[in-house]
Amino acid sequence: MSQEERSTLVSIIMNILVDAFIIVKLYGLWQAGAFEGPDGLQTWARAVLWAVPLAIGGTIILTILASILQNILSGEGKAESISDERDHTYQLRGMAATMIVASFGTLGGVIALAFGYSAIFGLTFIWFSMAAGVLIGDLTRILSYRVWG
Amino acid sequence: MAEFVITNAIRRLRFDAGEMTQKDLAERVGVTRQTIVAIEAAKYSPTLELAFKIARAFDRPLEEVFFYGSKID
Repeated sequence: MSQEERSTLVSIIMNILVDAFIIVKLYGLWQAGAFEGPDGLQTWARAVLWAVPLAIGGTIILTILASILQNILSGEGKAESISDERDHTYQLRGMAATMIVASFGTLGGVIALAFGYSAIFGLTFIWFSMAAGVLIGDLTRILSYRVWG
Repeated sequence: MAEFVITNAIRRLRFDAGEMTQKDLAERVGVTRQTIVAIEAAKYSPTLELAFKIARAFDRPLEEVFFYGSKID
């Protein structure tokens, strides 16, 4: 497993964990009625912003752990740390998938706003379509490495 | 309609070149070993530049290393 493939797996795991955390957090706040009133959007933004430090910190820790684990399991010592044209090709393929999903999600969010849904709903829809886009992009990369070629 | 794929003789050429390892070839052409594995298995088609580099590593012309033909199952 190359470094890029491992990074993609780490990204998938982190995205699932962070998204799950945000879903639980938003759901809790929504049930508590925290999004109602003039401070609703601010509360939503503060809750969602947690995803940034969580994702960065979690990715660093998980990358180090995955690297150590891979070195132990493969017994090859230091893993190959270069990325090559195959990695770049699959990266572009993944980015294309991400862009498609995120674009449709953003459009869906704007359409929802146009049809009278709340700003919280529209922003949440856009946020999770971005998250879904990243996840699908990463899955596309893993499938490229493992199945499609 | 016939499906065309790029195949190659890298495995045989490595064997002929003193059983050169995939890792050695990867280091010579500047890619990961996994990429050489994928190319050998015809799961990934290299760019023209990488194909030339691989051919040069074996000191062979491109057409003796890579082939374009219909898929045989």
